Amino acid sequence: MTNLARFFACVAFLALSLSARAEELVVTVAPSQIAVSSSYSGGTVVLFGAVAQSNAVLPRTYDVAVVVTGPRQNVVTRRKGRIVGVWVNQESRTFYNVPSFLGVLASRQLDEIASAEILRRQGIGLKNALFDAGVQPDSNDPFLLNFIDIRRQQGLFDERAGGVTFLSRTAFRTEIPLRDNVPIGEYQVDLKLFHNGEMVGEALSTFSVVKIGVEDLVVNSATNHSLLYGLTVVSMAFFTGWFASIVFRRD
Amino acid sequence: MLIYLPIADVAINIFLLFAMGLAVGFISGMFGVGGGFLMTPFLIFLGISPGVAVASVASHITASSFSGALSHWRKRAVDVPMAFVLLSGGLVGTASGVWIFTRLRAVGQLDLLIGLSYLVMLTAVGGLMLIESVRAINRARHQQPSQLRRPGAHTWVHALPFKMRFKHSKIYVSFFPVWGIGYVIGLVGAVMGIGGGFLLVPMLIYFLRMPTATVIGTAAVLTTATMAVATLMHALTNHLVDAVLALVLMVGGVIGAQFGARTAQNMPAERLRLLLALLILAVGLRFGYELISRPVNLYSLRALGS
Repeated sequence: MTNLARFFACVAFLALSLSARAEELVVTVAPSQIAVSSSYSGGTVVLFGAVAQSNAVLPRTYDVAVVVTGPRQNVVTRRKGRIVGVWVNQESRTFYNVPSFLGVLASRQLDEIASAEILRRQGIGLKNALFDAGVQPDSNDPFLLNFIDIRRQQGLFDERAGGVTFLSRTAFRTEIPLRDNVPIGEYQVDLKLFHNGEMVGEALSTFSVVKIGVEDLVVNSATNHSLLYGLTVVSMAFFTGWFASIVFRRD
Repeated sequence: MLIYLPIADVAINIFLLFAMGLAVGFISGMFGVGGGFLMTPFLIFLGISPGVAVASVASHITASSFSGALSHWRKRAVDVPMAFVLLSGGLVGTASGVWIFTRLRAVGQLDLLIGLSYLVMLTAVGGLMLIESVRAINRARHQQPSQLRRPGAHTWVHALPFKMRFKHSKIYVSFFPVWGIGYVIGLVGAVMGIGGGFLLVPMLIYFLRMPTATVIGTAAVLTTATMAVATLMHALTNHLVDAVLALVLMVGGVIGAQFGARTAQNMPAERLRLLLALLILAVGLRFGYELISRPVNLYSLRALGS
């Protein structure tokens, strides 16, 4: 594409976005912080949203798609093969900068909300949200498919059409379930509003998952003060052993 | 009641963990072994990653073998110089084991190594013990005297130089096989997440001809020391020791061990050895089955961090 063509494309895009002016969206997630303590075994983040102001004269019906992304990480996917009768890890593929948690919730089936092209560009759907915009993954790659599959089984990836419910024509609600294995860190909630297959509004929000109390203390000492931590665990073991031999002493 | 384990990053029923500690402790007290060869596979089965399981079980074994070592110490059943020589080998072995563990974890072959070591070690030791204890039971049935020690029957082990006299055990043997046994136990223990008691006791008896009076106490001292060092090294290099998991297992383990030891006193030694042999063999074969049967999912994931 020449520079001139690129310029015209920009102008066209600006004109289009001005004509289809975005709807104003308000969104709130609660709680904004999930605390992982020793009694934690899963949690739920509830999202409420409303179209605050519609610039359309006639009342519109909307569709909503929510993409929740956990902290990004690099993940190796390994495949086992058989060597002299024993199953051994052989080939592997590393996926860089992929979310550790991915929840896609929508008010309807994704393909009913918008075209495949729009969904891909907006990063809606498990495969579309996995990589940064511009990275075009081979969607038939068995390593990628199995990576997504395993993450789904672990409850870390989830795609649910109908997960967003409208309370009125403009207000909606969704729940993001988190399991006990939920990764620690910052989560991004990306909310997109559609009308007749076109995106008409967007809103961002965040929440975080943090370890608190004993859990935080243990993780922090294990990683930052590992010598002290190791010595503490060893002395704990010696003490427990000594205590048992005293309590149960029979001579 | 679920408890969230801070390093393992999973919530597990605390009573289940405690009961497992009790059960494995009972077996360990009954047979005079650490029970790591049962605990580590159990934890992996519950969904705790092998790395965390191996590292945390090391501290659990430290507790149970220390309580055993203390009671043997009171009965003066520990050969201190022997324990020191074994330990000098054991520490080097543990360091090599943790190093191998870290390297294989990085290249994704840790599970294979753990599986293979379990298969080879457990089936070999279990098989030998089974044969030996069946013979002993037959001998007992036919009223033949058992031949535990054959005086004068020297093997190549006794021909090695740098001989040392271990007064308490009444043996005169080279430094090298003692150091070597310590090294092997340290290495195997760190890689497999076991104390190696079930390996150490037969090795001391068959290779060094150590008398049974001092063998268990000395083995407990060595296991305590190598496992304490393994815990420390796993904490320093891999940051995988889960203190909460370790504490629950420890407390269950030391209580169970006391009851196990009492039960064992009312059982004949041959039958006890036969039971232990069957148990070890079963765990070993289970690992073997896992290695050769087609896995449910050929694919596996590991996060490398961001």
